[in-house]
Amino acid sequence: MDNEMKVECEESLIKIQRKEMSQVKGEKDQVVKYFQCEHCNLKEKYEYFGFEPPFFKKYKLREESYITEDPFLPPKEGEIIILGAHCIRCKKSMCKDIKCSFYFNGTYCIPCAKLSINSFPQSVQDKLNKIVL
Amino acid sequence: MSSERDNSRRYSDYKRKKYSHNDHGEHSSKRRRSPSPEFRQIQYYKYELKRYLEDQANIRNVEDFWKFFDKYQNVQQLKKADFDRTFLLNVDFKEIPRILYDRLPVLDKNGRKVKIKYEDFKEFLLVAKIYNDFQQKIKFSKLKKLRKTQTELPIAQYKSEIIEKLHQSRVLLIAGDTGCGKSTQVPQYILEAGFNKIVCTQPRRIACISLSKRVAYETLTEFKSTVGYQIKFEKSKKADTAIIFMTEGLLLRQASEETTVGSYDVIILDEVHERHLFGDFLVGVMKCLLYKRKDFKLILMSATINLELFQNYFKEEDVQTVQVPGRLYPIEIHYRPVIKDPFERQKDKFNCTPYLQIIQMIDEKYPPNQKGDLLIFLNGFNEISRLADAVLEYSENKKNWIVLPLHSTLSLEDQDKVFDYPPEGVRKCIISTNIAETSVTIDGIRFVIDSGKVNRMIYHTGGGVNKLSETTISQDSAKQRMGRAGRTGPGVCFRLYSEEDFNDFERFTPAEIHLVPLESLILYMISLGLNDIANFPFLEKPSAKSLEEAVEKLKFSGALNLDDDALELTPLGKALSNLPVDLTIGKMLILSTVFGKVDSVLALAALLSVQSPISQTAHKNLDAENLRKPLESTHGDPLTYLNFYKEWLNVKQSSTPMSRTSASESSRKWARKRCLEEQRFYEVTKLLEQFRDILNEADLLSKGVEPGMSSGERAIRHGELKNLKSMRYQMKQEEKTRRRKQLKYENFSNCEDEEKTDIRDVEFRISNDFKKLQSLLNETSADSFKDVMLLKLILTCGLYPQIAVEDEHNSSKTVSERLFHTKTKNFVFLRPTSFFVTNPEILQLHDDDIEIPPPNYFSKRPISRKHQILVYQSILETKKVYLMNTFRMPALQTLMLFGKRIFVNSSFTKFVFDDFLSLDVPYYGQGKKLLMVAARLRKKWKDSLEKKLHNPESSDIDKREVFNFVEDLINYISTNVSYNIKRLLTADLKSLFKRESRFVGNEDLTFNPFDEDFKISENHEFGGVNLTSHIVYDCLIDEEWAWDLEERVLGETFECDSCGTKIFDASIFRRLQHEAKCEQDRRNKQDGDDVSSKIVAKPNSKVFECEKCKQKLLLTPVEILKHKKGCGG
Repeated sequence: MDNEMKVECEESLIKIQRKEMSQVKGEKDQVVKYFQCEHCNLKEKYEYFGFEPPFFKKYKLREESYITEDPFLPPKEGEIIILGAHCIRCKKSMCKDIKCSFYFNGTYCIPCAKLSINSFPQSVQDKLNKIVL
Repeated sequence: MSSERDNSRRYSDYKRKKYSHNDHGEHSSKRRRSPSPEFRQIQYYKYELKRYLEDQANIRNVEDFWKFFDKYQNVQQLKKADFDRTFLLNVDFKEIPRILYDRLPVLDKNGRKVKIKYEDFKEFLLVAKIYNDFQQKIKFSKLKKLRKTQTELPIAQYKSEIIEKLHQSRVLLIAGDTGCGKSTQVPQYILEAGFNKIVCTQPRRIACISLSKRVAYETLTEFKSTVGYQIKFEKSKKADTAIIFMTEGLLLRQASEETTVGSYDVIILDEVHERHLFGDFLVGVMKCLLYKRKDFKLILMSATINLELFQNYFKEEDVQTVQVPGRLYPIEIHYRPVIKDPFERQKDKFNCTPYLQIIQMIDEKYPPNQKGDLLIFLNGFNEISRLADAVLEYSENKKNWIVLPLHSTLSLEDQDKVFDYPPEGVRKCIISTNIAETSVTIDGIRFVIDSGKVNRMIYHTGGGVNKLSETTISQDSAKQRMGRAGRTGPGVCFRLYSEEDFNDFERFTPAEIHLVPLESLILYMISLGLNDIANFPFLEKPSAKSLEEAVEKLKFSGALNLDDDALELTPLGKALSNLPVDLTIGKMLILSTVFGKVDSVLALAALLSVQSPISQTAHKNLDAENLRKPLESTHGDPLTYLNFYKEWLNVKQSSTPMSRTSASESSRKWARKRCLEEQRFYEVTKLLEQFRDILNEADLLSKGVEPGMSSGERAIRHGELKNLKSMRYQMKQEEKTRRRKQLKYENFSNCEDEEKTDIRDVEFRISNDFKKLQSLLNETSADSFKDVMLLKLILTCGLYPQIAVEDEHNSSKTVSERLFHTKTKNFVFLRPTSFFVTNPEILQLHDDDIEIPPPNYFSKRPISRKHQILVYQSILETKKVYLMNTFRMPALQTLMLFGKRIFVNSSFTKFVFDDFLSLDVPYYGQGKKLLMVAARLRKKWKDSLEKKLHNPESSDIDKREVFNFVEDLINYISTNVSYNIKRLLTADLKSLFKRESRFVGNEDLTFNPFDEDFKISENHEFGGVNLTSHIVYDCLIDEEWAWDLEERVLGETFECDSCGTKIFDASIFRRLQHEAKCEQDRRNKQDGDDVSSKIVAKPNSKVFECEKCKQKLLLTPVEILKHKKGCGG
């Protein structure tokens, strides 16, 4: 009895896996893409990566970023959330949290920013020094 | 490194630029050739720039932007940045500033040219970008905060374990206490794991909606259809919906539709520990489904209560368990058993002292600056109010305790007070029933006093009595109660019982299936095709007795048939199984559609489904009683409630929510003056609409045409609605900001501001417009005797056999409280608020109602035509046994119409109904005639009902027929018959029946005078013959007076009244047959006549006397010609 059940369970498992596979195939353009911050592990679905998100009205980005349409507003309002970008030094993906990244003409992860702190103007340096990891 | 260098280069570039002169100003003046270059500050054009900001910068909250702008400029003045701010921004406009500058509006609101310096404009753009960046940060932190709270939930650590175990097994049990986040998180985890048809059931509708909103928010799909809900009459579900929250009832209904259930890949049953009747049943159905379909997974979610039960139940299915610990702080337990003084006189009286001692101890031991409130668990309303008074008295001087009672009869508004916070140095003392155990969660509780008692409503099979009794709680309840002290910090729990007592408690609170009648469950099971009730895998099997009783009851009420040893639903049963209401209420609802009395019956059914509108303390208030008096109905409680409701609607209609100062009284005030709970009327209004929806959904209501509104009315209504909605919005806003307001000590000397507009009133007016109110008012009125009687008949049909008779000694003057008897329960009382308590004379026989018995008839029981019985809704046992919601009905007529088994003697002078009442009608002919009419009406009743069930739309066509039928019923009910009533005891039943038949063989049984279509058959059990499905004739042993009477009748020659035929030596049965035949002939003839006279009179009709057939007719000229032709030919 138990064995039988187990076999059946396995079968159903396989079925479910197949289901997933076929879905991925069927809706190829809707494959879910995830952005994950390499510092805080924030994992979010993103809809666009690049400079000019199609659903961002009137604005463009100054660096390639991970974007999702603003989920807190009704769709087609032209608002987005910038989830994160790659650190221009170490290329790690970093989210926009102040504890994870810092933007000055490009995204820096905090360790990289601290390493090249001298290249920033004084007031920015002051700011950076306040961030303790 | 290169980018870095690049960076610093750009930075120095900027420095250079900044100090070189601006070349654009010149450029612009060239472009905008204006004679007077009066440049203005950019803020000057706030109005003109509104559109510009919206269109070009996608900034909608312009006001907020300008605030930001001003602030920015102020800050800028204080400290200049040593670098270009744009370096901090990762967004930029798509267009270059030049182009954007060109897009500025040309003219201002006064028609003058807009003059803005280009450098000012660039600053403006910069601020727009910074503003945008700032918004971006807000949004991102909102998202981040959301994720943080999610990961901080206790269940988050178990995410991978849950998914892993779900892949391993088909059944998963997740146990975690309230607040661990299982209801919101588990569906999301499963969605992430790749399943996309997930159903999650909830016991309550409101939870479906709020959960679906919350989960949609958390999955960032608020504006998509990924997460939806489906409850009765409402759904937000689309083809691509992946998570659906629905009520247990709805999933049960879908369980019968293979295709719907077949599309789900994970079914989650939440809150299974609550052990509701249908929740338990659903678990059983799912177990069956696991074997029937192999391609879905089942997840059960519960509090950490009685896990073994579920684990054992799904043992064969290899259930996996994930246990999530709750968040609890340490709690000290103090056992302080109350030692009862054996010499105490009033042993039953509730003793407040132990509670006050603990309160005093808290005062002494814990300084008032150490916060923390007290929660006391008691069993009932009376105990709560008594202790509340005592605590108030105790803290009268120090005013350091605010007493808040909490129980389900309290209005929501009052219940919400327990969430408010007390002033500094004052503690809340919440005195609650077990409602605060799981349903209501209050934060800030530090002390708990547990009485160890609960009032539990238990349905007793056999007596049909709901017994509300004080019992000890279960160990599990005790743990729950204790846990309430440790939600926000370490706490203390005082148990007013000993540790040994605790160990003696039952481990778990009994499930609902053991406590309630099971009719609706059985009905539902059979409608799903689960006929084999005994072998259904119940989570916990109900007693065989209660199952049996439920089946018997269903058979009795005509919902169930036993066909070839298999239970089968009748058409009525099928219709009832579609109505998710109590059996009796369901029957009333269906009948209302037959008689076209929908609104009043719906209102009555709703009134009977909620708690009594008369408040519990009402019988102590004489003023209120006098004010209620004019609205009371002499017919009984339900009709009195209907009058209250109707009058309440009236008051509502004549007052407006805005009229704070107007002379008209608000409905709230009106109700309070009369000791009526307004809350109940709001509930009734809602329920009434639900009942209507239920009937609509079951296709039992003919789609009536909505009364149309004129355009004027519509406009008024539109304005009114707009007004009301803005009021509601405002009030909700206020409520939000004032949420958790501070309590004041004075507040609780029971004064409440009357001036305040009532949000329930506003909501009532939004969903019920004037016109609807008017029609509700008109249709719920039951003014004429006919209306009232019809309503009572419909109620009786639903409630029969719940009838009671008066005790013989009630009329004697020494009796202080009147007693009643039902078939199964002797010596029951009326509720103190019942109409008949204050007006007992209405049930009493007066001296001049009592008739002199005929010669030879001797009985101490009075003969009268005014005997009445009480029909009741339920029996409730607390300290005494009470009949609930009673109304009176004429005895014999009611019994003949609704009695399930009617035994008759040979001369139709003695009747026994349902082994409960025996009625003597010691006049030959009266009983016989009434029984014949009753049998005919019964048949008609059944036919109408079946017709309605087969063809729901038919009622409109047969309006006339219904009208005549109602007339017949009313005439029947008002028939004058003289009889007496005797209550049968079990011993009486032994010597009642002949148990043999001398009938067959002696009589001609081919013609059945009661029902032509019913074949007369011998009754072997009681003797005599079955004349209809409920009448057994000639089965009673006659007493001497009946022998004499029969002898005398048989001695006289029978002469038929209508045809004059004389028959000698005819038995009473043969006489009846002859009379019935004659009557039938007469009616056939009349029917034939009816056809010819059915021609409707028209305006141009005139009296016409035909020469040929000598008939006087009312005809139009054309019809006269037709008639002449017909007669002539």
